[in-house]
Amino acid sequence: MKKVVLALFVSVFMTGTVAAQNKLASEPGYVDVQQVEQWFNTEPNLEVNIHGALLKLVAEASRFEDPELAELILKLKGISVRGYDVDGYDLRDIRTQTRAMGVKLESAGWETVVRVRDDDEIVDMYLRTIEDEIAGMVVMVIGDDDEAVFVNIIGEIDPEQIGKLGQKFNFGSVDRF
Amino acid sequence: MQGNSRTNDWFDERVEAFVDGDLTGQELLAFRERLDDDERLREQVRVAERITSTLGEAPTFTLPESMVRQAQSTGSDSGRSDVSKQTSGRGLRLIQSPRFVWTSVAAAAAIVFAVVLFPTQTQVQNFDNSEPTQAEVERALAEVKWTLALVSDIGNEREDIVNGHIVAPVQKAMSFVIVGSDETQGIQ
Repeated sequence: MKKVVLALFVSVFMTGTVAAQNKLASEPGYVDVQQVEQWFNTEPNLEVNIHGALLKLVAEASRFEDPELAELILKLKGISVRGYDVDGYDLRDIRTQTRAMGVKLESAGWETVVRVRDDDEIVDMYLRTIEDEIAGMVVMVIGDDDEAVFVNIIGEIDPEQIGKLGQKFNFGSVDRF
Repeated sequence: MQGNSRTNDWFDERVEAFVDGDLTGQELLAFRERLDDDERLREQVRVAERITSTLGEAPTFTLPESMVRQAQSTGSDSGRSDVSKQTSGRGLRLIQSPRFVWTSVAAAAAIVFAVVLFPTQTQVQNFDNSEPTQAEVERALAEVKWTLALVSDIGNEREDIVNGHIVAPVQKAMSFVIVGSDETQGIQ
């Protein structure tokens, strides 16, 4: 009976959360951005988790206004973002952590496509390619505006399309929701 | 007066034993004689018989071994060491079977699950499966645009790096080589 109770508890309670998370985590382009939360003592001031049904709805919502954007979003499996205010933090520690994460990604088969090391800014971009198709992207930015942003885009990514659409949105003019 | 009180106490203390059939000999005779004359004692006996009858109809269970051991150790600690594993059909008993225990645990777990955990599960379903509101979709669209714009911006940065640190120096070097070779040719 103990086993029955335990099985009931585990199967019903965990089904919803674990199944959804496992499905995304099994994607080759997935990186757990939550791990960067250990580097900071505070909650992220920016957190984005869009995947599954919501992502499809977003694609459909943008179809009328921008069909090209809708097609791009439909190819994605998920978008996760974490942003932190790093004012007051020792940036050397965060840079060390960022570098360690980069090494881990590279050893896991991710390719470094951008690495910028300025006095006040660090930018890293990694791509995961599976059979000549990009399956995931990781972006880590520690900017001169005391902000650190970590992005993981999962799914089939066309950098050219993203560049074109991104330029259209014009980063500076897009509202920070 | 005091003698009557002591007599009453003697009979009161033997009501349960009488109902259970444990009185014998002179005690039993004395009790029966008293019953004929004492309405209060007869009422006490009737109440005791009803209690015993009700308890006798209740199902009997066996305590789990571990519970018996724990009860025995608790009993011996407090000077009460005689805890029976089986009912004897009398008195108030704390008797349960393993099946009863685990059925109770299962029922309690189900109630806890329904009351406490079901709302959590509902929230998870809302997040993952149910249809988001229009406002949530619009907000998500804004988040997607922002993320794509950020990525695009970094992509442009790469272009700047390539243009600024690779293409431009190479062009400059090439032009120097080309111009230099032209000048050299001109000198010749």
